[in-house]
Amino acid sequence: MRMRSYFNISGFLKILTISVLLFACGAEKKNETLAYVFTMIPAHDVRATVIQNGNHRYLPGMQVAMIEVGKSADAIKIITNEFHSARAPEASFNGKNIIFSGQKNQGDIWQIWTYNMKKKAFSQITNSETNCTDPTWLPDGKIAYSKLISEKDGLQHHALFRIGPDGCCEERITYQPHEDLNAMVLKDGRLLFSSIQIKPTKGSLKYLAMRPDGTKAELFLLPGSNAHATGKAVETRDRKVLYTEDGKLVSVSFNRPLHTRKVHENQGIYQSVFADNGKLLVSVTYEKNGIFELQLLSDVGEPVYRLTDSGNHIIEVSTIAERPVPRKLPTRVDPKKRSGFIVCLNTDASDIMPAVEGAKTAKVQVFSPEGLIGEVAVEEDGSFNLELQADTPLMFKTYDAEGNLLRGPSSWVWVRPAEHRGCVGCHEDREIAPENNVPKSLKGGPVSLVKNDISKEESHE
Amino acid sequence: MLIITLAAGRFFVHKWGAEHARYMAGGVDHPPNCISCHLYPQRDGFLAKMVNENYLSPLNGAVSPDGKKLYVVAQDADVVVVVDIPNSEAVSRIKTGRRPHSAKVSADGNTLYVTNQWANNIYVIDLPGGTVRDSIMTGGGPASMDFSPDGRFLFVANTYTHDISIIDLQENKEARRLYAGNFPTGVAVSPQSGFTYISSQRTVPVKFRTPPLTEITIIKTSGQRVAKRQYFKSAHIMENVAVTPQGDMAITTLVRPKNLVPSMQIERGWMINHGIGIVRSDGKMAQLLLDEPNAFYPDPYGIVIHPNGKYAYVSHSGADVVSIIDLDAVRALLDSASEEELNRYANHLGLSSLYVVKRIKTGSNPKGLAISPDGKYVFVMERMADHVTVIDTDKLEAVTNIDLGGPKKITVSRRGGQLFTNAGHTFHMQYSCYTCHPDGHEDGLTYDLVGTGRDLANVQTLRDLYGTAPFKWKGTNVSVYMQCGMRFSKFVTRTESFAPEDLDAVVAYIMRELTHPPNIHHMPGTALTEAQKRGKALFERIVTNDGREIPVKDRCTTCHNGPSYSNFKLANVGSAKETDDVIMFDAPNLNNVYESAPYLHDGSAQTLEEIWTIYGGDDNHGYVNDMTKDQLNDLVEYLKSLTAARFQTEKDDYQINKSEL
Repeated sequence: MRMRSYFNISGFLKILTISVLLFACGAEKKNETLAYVFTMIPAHDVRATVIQNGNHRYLPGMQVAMIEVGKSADAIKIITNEFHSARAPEASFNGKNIIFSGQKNQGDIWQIWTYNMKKKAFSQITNSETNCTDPTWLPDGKIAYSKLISEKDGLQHHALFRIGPDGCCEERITYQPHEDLNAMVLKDGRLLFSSIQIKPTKGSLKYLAMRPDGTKAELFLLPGSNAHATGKAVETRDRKVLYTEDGKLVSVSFNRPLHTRKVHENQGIYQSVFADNGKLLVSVTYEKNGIFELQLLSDVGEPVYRLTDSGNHIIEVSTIAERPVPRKLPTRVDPKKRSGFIVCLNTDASDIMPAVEGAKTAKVQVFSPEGLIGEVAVEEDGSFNLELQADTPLMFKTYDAEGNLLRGPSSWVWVRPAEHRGCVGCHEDREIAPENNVPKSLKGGPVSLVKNDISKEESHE
Repeated sequence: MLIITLAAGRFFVHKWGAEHARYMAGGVDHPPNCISCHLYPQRDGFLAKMVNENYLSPLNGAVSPDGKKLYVVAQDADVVVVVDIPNSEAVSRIKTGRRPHSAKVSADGNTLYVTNQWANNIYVIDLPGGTVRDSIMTGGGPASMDFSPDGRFLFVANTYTHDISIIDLQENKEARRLYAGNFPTGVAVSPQSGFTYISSQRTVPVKFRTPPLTEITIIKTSGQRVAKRQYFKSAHIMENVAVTPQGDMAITTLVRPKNLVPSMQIERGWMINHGIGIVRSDGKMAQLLLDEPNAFYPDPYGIVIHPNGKYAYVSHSGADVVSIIDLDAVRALLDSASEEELNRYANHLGLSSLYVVKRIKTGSNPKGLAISPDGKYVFVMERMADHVTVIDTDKLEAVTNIDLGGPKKITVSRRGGQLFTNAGHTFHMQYSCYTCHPDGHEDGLTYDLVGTGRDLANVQTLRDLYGTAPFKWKGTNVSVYMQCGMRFSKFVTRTESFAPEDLDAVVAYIMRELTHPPNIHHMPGTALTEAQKRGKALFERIVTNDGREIPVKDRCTTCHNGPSYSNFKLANVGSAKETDDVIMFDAPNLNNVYESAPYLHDGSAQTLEEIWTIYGGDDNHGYVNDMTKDQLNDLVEYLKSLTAARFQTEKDDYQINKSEL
């Protein structure tokens, strides 16, 4: 009898009905409402006009807001009402949390906050004594952001940091006298960020790619000369990287970013771009000093959705939705170590002509911002193998046997604790892979330029 | 009470299982799923049969002269699948010998030739009926082949005996044997140039820690003599070769390993690059990469050139892509390049944008390519998909995908095969497991994986690993799960490690599917030669030539015993060098050891003989110094004969000769 009850008609119909409803709900969920999050700046604030050249970071009265498309046009919902100012929102990969940089009260330090969409609750992530901005989610759930720091020599600039979602274990990950801003994660798991050297001389804007543990930082793309970045660079589904450069939308091929820069001659002045599942989400205005609006562009660049607000600029737009999680890259950084290693395969492999024609490198000098760290002889094959203080900005100069400066100073580089990194040459063509030879400098092991020489057992894995 | 006991039992079993799985995975959490490790990797038994399938695994193919039939060599099924091209349909199968490799159709379309790599012969098959008419003995491991311009001779690359069989097709027998490079696989006859080109997989022996040199053997076709041996520096795994119809270029696929460079990073093509090697009619050589700075196209395998000579098509079996190469752009680039520039081009990751006009996505693991005689279609054999993708050469796009009729279910092991052969689990897809372990074996190189110039590691074969733990030369890995786990992603793939279910699949594939071929020095069903018998006595001896007892620790059989000829323990055989941090190494398995040169943990011994003549002076590696030269030769002959027991017990048709057909 009991068995029969499982199979009676009414029970079957109930199950069928529930199943159909569940299926229908599921189907509805597939076409779920699109939601966008963005920053709003009062349009009447004259300072807001500077958003066109990238200096928009610390305006008061900015708010993080969102909209669910499909609901009424006036349904812009301010998320950060209880903040004096808030900006730079980005939804997590599961679409459930939003990070942003916020100033709770006037005069407060800008901190990184998260907003739980379901609980409608805020959590303060950083507790910094200096401003923290431009947060982005990392694939492992941590958060990377820029933080204003003061160096020993008084130099103030932004470096990249990362921190756990619970506020634990803040860690600096870039070590160069640069303005490092606008971090965003590529699908390969690396961070892509804008970077401008400020010491010893001011450099031009570059985008660097780096593992989230701060290792293997390298030039990724070069914007036009004197360009300003106004937002993050993003990777699209068709393996392009897009960013805004002085109001223009610019793309490069991910596969070959240094030689494929293309400035898109679309009408309008662009503030930010975000890749949205094959489409582009942009912040754009069509008039100088006009009000920025949100647009969702089709794959042929036509707006398929627009959001304007007569009283506010809409900038820093991104999607609230589940997104593919980029690769979680493993790390070999060992915080217990104090040094890292650099092997250069051939210092004479360079696109920069030596100051003395035909001269061969005989020695290399290594500098930190404080001055000379040391010098080492270069092997016959042009290679050197150094153990260097970790987490310290480093520059190189090369000399011939007569002491003539051949090349340098180089760009700033650094190594993380226990990092091993290699260079094909010195400012060589960045599309050249190494020649397959054993560098002679490998034989004797690394030459240590670390103060208070680190013990041998720390040197090797 | 019973419930409490069962619950407690379940709790402790589960806890023990979790700890056991964690230990076997190398200290990282791994779901304690018993069947993952104890069923899926099994080769034999009822349950293993239940959870596995017999796939086709198409490797190469040939198109009939009328362009209506495609003959697809299904490597794992020992058949040729006949595809009706106009209907895009697999219509029949022809049984072949063991482990078929390649197929060729005669100019009149009446005969199909199939190399049987594990049977050391070629089947001569009547078409259209599909009857095996004859069998022609070749050297060991016949692979690719090509006809002489008059159709009278067939040039065959013998991978395992490193030579070339020239088959007289009037007599259906081998007319001549020529030495080739190391592990030759590809053959292309150029009617215009009068030469035949044979590409090889592995480097010829080179001085320790110097770049690999892989031979392309050039034969004067009419004279059937080697005209020249040319070498591609810092390149290997030259799987296939094709010639332009103009006869101005022979182009081989190749891999450019960075095995001498400390593996400090993977970014910027630091570990392995992939491309083509070109031999021009004037003998000049060049290498060009098919990679891009942030995107790699590993394991180039098949290559065909359109009859009009404009485009070459290259399959990248590790990237599920076919690259289309503009050969006029290649010619223009090479014509204007100095020697110095050519050297630079070989490492230039950005140049491919000049000559790669398109990348076409394929199914899993694209291997051999075949082109229709009119050049209208290129057929791509998808080894891990049991499908063939058809590329329209006018549209330069894939237009059809043909199901060859393999099993539809993707088993755990098959999924592992797809992962093993695909570079998706390596940063920027720079290489796959297959890249260093071609055909599940080894690439014959020594790498500096630690990146400090220390603890150099000679790549070891993955064949017949089941039951041979521990792994790595240092014996530190208790399982393949550990070998391919978290640490592997830190030091080798440098990206996110395999998800547990993917790791299970890869391990199942390695353990179950990767096996040694029959030993060419001791084929199934054959007895040991007299020299091998003498060598066996030396291998098993317990007294020296002058009658002194050899201490147990110095006897060959102490460390090299059992079915794999290993006791799976560490030993100091005096092979450690200044660059090693340890002196004890895992006793390697010796089955089919003849195909694993170079030897020792760091690859410093080029031959088996060198293990003792150069590195065995102190008798640490067995007691050998009383042996005469002849005795050492006999010992080496015996070592070469060591083979898995299954080959000596199976009554299988590894070699079928004419009389047996």
